[in-house]
Amino acid sequence: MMYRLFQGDDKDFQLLFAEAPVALAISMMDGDELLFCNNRLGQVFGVDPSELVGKPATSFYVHSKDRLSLLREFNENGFVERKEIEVQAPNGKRFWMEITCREIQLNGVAAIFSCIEDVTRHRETRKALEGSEARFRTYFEFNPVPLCVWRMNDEGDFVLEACNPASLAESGKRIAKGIGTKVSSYFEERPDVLAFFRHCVSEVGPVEKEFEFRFGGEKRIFSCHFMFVPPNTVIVHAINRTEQRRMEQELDWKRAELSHKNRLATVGKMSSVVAHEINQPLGAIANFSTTIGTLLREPKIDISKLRELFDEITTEALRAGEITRSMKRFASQAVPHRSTIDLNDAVVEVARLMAADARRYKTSISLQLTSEPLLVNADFVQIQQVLVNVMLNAIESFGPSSEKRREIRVESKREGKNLLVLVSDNGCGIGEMQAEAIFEPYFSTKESGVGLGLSISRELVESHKGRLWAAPNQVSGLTVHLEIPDLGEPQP
Amino acid sequence: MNGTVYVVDDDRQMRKSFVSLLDASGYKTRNFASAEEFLEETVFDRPSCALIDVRLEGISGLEVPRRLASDRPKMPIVFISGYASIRDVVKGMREGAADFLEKPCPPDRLLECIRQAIAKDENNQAQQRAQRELRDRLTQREQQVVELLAEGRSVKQVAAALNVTYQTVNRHRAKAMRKLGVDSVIKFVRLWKEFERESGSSKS
Repeated sequence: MMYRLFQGDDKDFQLLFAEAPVALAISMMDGDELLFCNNRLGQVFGVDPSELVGKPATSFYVHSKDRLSLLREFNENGFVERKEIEVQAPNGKRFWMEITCREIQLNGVAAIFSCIEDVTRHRETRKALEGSEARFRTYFEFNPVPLCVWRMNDEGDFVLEACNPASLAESGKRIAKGIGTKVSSYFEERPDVLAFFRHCVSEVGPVEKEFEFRFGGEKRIFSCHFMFVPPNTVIVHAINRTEQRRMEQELDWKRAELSHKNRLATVGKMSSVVAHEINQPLGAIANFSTTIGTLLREPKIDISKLRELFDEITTEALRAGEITRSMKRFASQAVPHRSTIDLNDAVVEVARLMAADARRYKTSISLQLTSEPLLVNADFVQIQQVLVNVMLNAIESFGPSSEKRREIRVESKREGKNLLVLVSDNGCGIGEMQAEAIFEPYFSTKESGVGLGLSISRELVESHKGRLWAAPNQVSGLTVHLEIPDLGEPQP
Repeated sequence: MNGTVYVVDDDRQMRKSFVSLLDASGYKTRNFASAEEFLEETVFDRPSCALIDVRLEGISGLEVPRRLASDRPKMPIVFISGYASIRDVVKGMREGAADFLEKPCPPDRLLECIRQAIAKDENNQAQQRAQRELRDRLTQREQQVVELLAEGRSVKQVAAALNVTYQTVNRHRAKAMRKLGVDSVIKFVRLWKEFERESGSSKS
């Protein structure tokens, strides 16, 4: 069938053949000799077309069997469609061609009319793509980390497209049933999951979040990395952190238990001092109330004087209550509890607890605190415990015979992203080397005491992502630094 | 009933409560936050006593009697302490504490101690007055002789020191003994020593 608008003669058609922008060739069915070829074919082979004509087509094939199989296919079907074959030009240039063949009759002789295209570059690109696809597939299949691929749909929801064997193993094959389902229905109970999917699309680079799921009553914690691959794919790594978190929690408990024991020991050590601290207001109350009794026996009763005395009694009762409350909180809290606290509050309360002990050792405690609150997310009692241990250490650092005025200075300040409490004494001090050693368990220069206080303190501070260290002062004594990062706003 | 109580306690509220209690019971009070402050006093009311907390910042309460001796000998001192060790009590008593109380102390007990301490001081005062009178009866020469004898010198040494005869010294001694109403040399020396202690640094 021919479609034509103009009536051309043979010459016209010869021109069309010769100048066609595709490479064309005609070869004999018998003998396989190349009868005609056009200019474009010469370009493809990189030679003058005249060098090609008259040669057997087979001679251009790198592997002659390729020609044979092409001819076999041609004979069977009467055509060949887009076959890729490696060929070699007379000048030695090798390339891949894509060939399509049709049967024609030229003056009653059967011939093969072929259209040829150089597909070497296509082929390389495709191979490379196939290679990267294969690599990705291997990575996906054999990655020990559970991986899932989700694709965003028009509703802004995400459909599970694929998941790797690791994720099947992790979920007990549950997730395989999820292929084709949407995030909104797969995590029906957890709208936060879809919200996070949407969040990650707006981010450049991977985003991370820890999710806690319940599978049939069993709690699992996953640390998930979401990577958005434009235009519409999200790859999710989910690492099971359940065991790790459980161990961390166990460690937390162990630490809490140890710190509680340390606090009880500290309380034991301070109990006589604290008893005195409570006796003080109690004694004052007894004195005030006896005074009231005496005044009431007088003929003329001075009401305003009585009121004053009753106020004093109230003040003293509250003072005693304050001490027992601090003490009780300090001694009895066994379960760690984090909340937003002011470091200055902790310092003030500890200074009150320590006041009596300090007096006993003839030591003065001075505070120099920031006027604005130093807020951190921390366990109030544990921070207090650290301060108590550090201050006890400071109080006890003064040699028993030391005659000089004993002073402990507590300073709080903000330094960039960190909040600091510095406790310095003017005691006998220790060398640079020992400044680190005091945090070792069982290090003690004192006769009493096991030497666990400061090592527990350091652990407690580190569990708050903070640091606790000591450095000798220039003149005398030691300064212990407690540093806690300012967490800023709590994570959403 | 009256008298002055010197209250020394570094706990402001505690001090205030002592003052109000003693005030209501008819005593005059003076109060101090530290031993140092109290020791700056040079003139003291009579009769009086001190109520002193043992644990004070700076100079310990137990140091007070010794340091006070030159300005105000024999002031009765009631110690009060939150955690008194046996050693503290012993030291306090040796320093001449009138009493040793533990905090918190029943107010009645405290008032009783104060009452006794004031009474003791009144008694001391009377005794001192009487002793002074006795002493004033001696002539200057007799006093000289007695002082030297009390130092442990023999009659011969005293005679040499005063450049008088052995007999003269003996005569002065016998007269002084009669005036003071003692019948043995030992009692005589002991009494004289007491005089010297009463009058504090008068001699030294």
